[in-house]
Amino acid sequence: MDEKTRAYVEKMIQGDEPAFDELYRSYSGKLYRMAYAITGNKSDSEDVLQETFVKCYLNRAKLKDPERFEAWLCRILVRTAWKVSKKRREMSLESLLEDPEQGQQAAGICRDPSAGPLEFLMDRETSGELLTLVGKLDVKYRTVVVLYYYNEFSTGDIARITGTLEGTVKSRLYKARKLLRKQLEGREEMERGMRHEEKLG
Amino acid sequence: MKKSWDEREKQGKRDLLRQQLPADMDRISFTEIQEQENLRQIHRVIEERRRNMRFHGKRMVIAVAAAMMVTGTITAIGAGKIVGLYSSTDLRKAVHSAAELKQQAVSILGDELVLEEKLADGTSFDEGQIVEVQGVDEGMNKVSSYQELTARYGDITLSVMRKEDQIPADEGENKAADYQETVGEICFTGTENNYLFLPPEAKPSKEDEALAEAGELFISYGTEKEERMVFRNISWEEDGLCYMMLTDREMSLSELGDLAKAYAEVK
Repeated sequence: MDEKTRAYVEKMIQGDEPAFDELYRSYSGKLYRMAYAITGNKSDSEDVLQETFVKCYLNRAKLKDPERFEAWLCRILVRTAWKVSKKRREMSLESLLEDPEQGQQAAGICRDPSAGPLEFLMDRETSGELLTLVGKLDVKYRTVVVLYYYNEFSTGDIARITGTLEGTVKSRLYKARKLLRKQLEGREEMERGMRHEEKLG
Repeated sequence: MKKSWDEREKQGKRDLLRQQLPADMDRISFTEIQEQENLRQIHRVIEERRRNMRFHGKRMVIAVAAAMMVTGTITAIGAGKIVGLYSSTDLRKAVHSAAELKQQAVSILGDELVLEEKLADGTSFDEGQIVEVQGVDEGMNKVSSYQELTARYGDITLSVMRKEDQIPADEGENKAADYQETVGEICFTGTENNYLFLPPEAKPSKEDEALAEAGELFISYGTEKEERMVFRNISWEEDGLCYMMLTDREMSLSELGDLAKAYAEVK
């Protein structure tokens, strides 16, 4: 954590609202994207983001070590997002497709109306394909994948954030990678078949 | 041709998820307008919650103040229409018999109220009175009020008010119960709380203010000197009345819970 952020965290703990606003501006984008990846839709992500920062401010006295601010904030976010996901039952990033603007950006589709099926598939290789697959995982797997690969937390930190054992985190990461690989390879297999059929056709 | 997972990892010389997931996630749009709108909403909710948390804590502060015989207690002041609860304990109005207190209280709390002369551990009723609790605005003007009965049994205080007079708190904002047990249809919940009593003109430290906002500390004004105490309480509802038994005695919540259950079962 840099000196400036640390100073804001210390001020925020003392109840300084401008410092809290600065911290919000620094972290809100990242946290919103995390919430999006965990809950799978825009409306819940905004609710989770808001609730996370409300709890952050009201419970600031509980943050004993300013250096742990980001992990502490992520812990609040993850718990809040899980609660929302539990309420909504099965949430997946498929719902991104229901939101035209977000769907196009995150899933990487329909940018060029003239693009054919092959171009569409080629583009998808680098535009949101993995995120879409991550969204299909169970919420517990989705969370550790986001925390590990997006936030770059250690498995020890993730264990503290999610309230699980480090071994459980490692096992979830291993299983998540395995599931993602299987899904991706399954898709590739299907796409190869489609291209073969196109050639024959 | 589309590359396999292994080929893509080899090409990027890194874990594929590490290479691609952050890039995918950074494409999720979060506009400046969204950022500003969410921040405005956050401040609005914080202010609402602060008000509700203050009200939730205040009832316990009032009851504790009555237990300590603090006169002219005013709870922490905050922003909003009703910013504090004020109660005044008049020792001259205290009665020394449970039967007499009940007689006074029937017109306010109804016939269902039962006041015992003794608790299950043998502690006798010492004194009690009906206290008017006022909701006050920033200028200390009365904007609402309700009546609350407080009865002292040694170092244990019983406080009773009508359920309809309770000030609602936000769901999820009440401090999580440290004790919970259900007997029949009655649910007994208990918490252990830290209290700070301050002289009327004193100001709490920034640390204490932050603890109060987090629900970790209840602040009351009206004592001669600063004092910190720990109180345990058990609450339950019966026949439209909210009961709370509280004490600073060195006893566990479970022991206090047993006294509360015995009290409710007596009825």
